Amino acid sequence: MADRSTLGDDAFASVLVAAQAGASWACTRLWSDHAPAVAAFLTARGSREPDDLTSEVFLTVFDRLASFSGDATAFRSFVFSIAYRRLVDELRMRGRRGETVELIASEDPRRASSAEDDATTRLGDQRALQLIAELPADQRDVMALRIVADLTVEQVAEVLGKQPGAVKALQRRALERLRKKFEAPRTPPALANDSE
Amino acid sequence: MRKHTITDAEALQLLSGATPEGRPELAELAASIADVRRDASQLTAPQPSVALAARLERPTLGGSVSDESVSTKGNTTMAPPRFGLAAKIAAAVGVLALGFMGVGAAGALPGPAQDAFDGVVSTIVPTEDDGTAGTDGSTDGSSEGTDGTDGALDECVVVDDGATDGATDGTTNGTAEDEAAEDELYGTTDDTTTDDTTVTDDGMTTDGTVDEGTDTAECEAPLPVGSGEFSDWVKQGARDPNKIGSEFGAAVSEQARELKNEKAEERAANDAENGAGSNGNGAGNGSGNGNGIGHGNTGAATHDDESSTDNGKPADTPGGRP
Repeated sequence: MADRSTLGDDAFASVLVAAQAGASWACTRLWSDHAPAVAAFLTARGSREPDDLTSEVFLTVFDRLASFSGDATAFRSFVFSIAYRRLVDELRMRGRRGETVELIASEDPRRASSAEDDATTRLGDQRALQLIAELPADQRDVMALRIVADLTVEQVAEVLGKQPGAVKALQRRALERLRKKFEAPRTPPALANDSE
Repeated sequence: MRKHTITDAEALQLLSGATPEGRPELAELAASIADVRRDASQLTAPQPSVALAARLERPTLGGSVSDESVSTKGNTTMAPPRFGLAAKIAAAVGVLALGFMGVGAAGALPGPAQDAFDGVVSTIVPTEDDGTAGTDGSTDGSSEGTDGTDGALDECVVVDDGATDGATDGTTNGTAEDEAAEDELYGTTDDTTTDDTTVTDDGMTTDGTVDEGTDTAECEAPLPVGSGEFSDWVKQGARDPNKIGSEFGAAVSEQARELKNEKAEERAANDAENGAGSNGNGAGNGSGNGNGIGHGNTGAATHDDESSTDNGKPADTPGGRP
């Protein structure tokens, strides 16, 4: 699977060296190239504050940047490894403290949904992400990293600390599950609880 | 026959958003995954937090701004290199110190502050007043030329008779002894004084060197007497870029040392001459127009000068402070 990074290897090497030297333009470039995918991954995996968590991820990335060496692919794995750990921390913390959900009238489940609302929620990534949200946690991790973050099997294995074969098995089972979901009549999905 | 398992190859196709060949039942799943991938690729970077924004806007430590640099939420500004905090503090302290010294030298500080400043200046740069400032300390700010110097001394040396005599604890009366003492002190005589000076008024020759030579040179280099005059002399010299340096500093030190030593000698001579118990009034009335109003601090002092106070306290002399 092709890497979505807009930088080639040579350009990335230049940017990395500059960022490691403290050049703000280079850090901004790394942020703009990788932050959207990180935020999307965190959103897909259930982060309540994906934007803030993304910023925290990159603060850690820049703090550890001096110790990093590698190409663009390795850097992407490096970034998502940090993002995954921060996500796990948030999910664990949420599980200990209990979840606080802000009341939003339009999202209140007691409110009768209109046809327009239903159409909106079925569109785009909402529907697909909802499908991912139905998967078990380990399969969700793999699917989010493979689809949203656009990582390879090897990269996902590195981020999750698993063997590539285990990642392949997880993605295969996830796809089977989704296929069955598409074949069956749609019912409102029950969100899995990551903190359990 | 419909397959019920998804192979790794088919999974790879599905995850890329493509429908595996011969698996039309997976088309809808592939389309959904393609939607997710498309939406994810079109996302923009979120608004960075305050901490991250500050991190991204740090000044460049190395490298240059690249044309490829992309800003997502507004352009990042490249702040110019800034001095460190310590450098800023040092600069501010330096400016404040210079300003305080300038105001203090001009005598424009508030009363207590000016007294403190004078004390510091007297401590650092001893003048003739230092030896007696603690006795009674009243000085007359009016600078009257000493008599008997044919007027030359008026230009070259500014002497306050009263200040001098009063500083000697009032043991001398204003007589010709004052003249002699001054002549001895400043090395000037009637014969040697001259009007055509070739040295600057601060004791520096035009080439910037201190003239410590003959009596004429001493006359040509007027000696600051009071703390005010001395400080003015130092201040003016300090402002002159041609005089700043080790030579000028040496001149200041030498001047102060000579004044102090000679004054000490003078005071010792006067003490020996008048003996203990003499009640000088300290009003150094020279034979000429010297009208110093230094006051003896003894209660038995007689007061010849109208401006003297009989309680031993210094008269209010507006010009007494530099």
